[in-house]
Amino acid sequence: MQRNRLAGLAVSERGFVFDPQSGQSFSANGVALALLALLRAGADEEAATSRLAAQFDQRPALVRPAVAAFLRQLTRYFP
Amino acid sequence: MIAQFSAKPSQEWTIGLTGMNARADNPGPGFAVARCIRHDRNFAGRLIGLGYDALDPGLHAEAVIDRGFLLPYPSEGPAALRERLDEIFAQTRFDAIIPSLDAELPNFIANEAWLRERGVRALLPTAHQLRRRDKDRLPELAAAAGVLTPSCRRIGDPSALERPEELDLAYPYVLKGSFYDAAIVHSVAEARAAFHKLAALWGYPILAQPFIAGYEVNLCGLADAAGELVGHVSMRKRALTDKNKAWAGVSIVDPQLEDMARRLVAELGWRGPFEVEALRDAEGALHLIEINPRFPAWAYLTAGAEYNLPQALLHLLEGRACALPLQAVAGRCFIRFADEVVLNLAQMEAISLFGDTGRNDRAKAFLSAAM
Repeated sequence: MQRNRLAGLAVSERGFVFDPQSGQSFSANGVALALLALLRAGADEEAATSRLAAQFDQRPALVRPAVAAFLRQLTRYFP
Repeated sequence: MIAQFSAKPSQEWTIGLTGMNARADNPGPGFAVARCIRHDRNFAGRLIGLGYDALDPGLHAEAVIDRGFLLPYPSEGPAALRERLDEIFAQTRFDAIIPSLDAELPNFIANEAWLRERGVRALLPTAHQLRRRDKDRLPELAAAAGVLTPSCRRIGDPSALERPEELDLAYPYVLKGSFYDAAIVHSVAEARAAFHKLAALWGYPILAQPFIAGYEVNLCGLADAAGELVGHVSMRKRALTDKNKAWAGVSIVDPQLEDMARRLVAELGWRGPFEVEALRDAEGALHLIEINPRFPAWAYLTAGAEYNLPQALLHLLEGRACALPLQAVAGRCFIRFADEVVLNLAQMEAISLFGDTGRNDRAKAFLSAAM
């Protein structure tokens, strides 16, 4: 996945995400927004997992597969 | 006759614009260009629509176009165009002309010096530049510019379609008319039908290309008289008409597409407005599909993206530096809609018999008095 593409996204507080390079737009829920913010700030998969778990008061083991799935989804949009 | 260019600023010019047709599935670009010029609140000049059919709606759109005239069809040649423009110039002096249709460009190019002698500015490519970006010569141009493009076969005889493997083509592949239109074909029967339809509409040859799966990105650009790229706006289509034309689109920033446009302009030494159509495949590689020698029908998005290219063209024609921002704003979305213009009998008579709408404001007053 191209991390620099994440930095270039236009992201609204309400979850509207626009990619100025491809012209695609997406909607993100609250958890996705929080995860996107962590990734855009440079967190790797492990760091994003532990911080997201702390933020939503969940066990990292529960959060890890969701983060991995989200990253796979991002890789599809930003190969 | 040698007339001087007017010393007036471009905001006070009378400007002729072609491409006033506006069929919803494939509109001409002229009306969008006119709207870009009107987008400048300080523009106090006049916009004259030049159409080919009494029912070209842009000619009658009084909020944008001050007056409309009919021209002879491009197939009648440059002399017929000169003769008609002479009649029109007797009615109203032009400071500039912006042609917007592929088929008419050779006639305008042939008359460029003649226009200049009459004080009419135009920024046009040369005939050689125009020919080099013809669809059937794209592979040659793309190789010289170092960009990718699908291979292209010229087909004059439909029997060649019976054995696509001899043309190095596999289904599906694309058949294209020499000026406009394309069809993706999946069988000999589809290929035959598309061939005859395209040939009837646009003549021969028909071009055949391999199909590339991906999404289309377009760039509207402007190059100056020295062949330097002055500015560009990129767009991704968001909704399509039956002819795969944009019904909605969004401005984007696509460095790969910009690089392609820069290479093509440098290779051609292009002068004037243009559009690059390209396809991004699943691996992210960009393939050149077409170069249109004029502003595209979606040109109004350039004003919407705060990067008004038709206005920049007027500045170039005036000899001023273009005051364009560094980059167009990404994320500006346009959506088309169909609208109607209502004409009264006097207006229909004027355009049908005399090829002249008369002053649209006068016609408007007549219309409001009659209703």
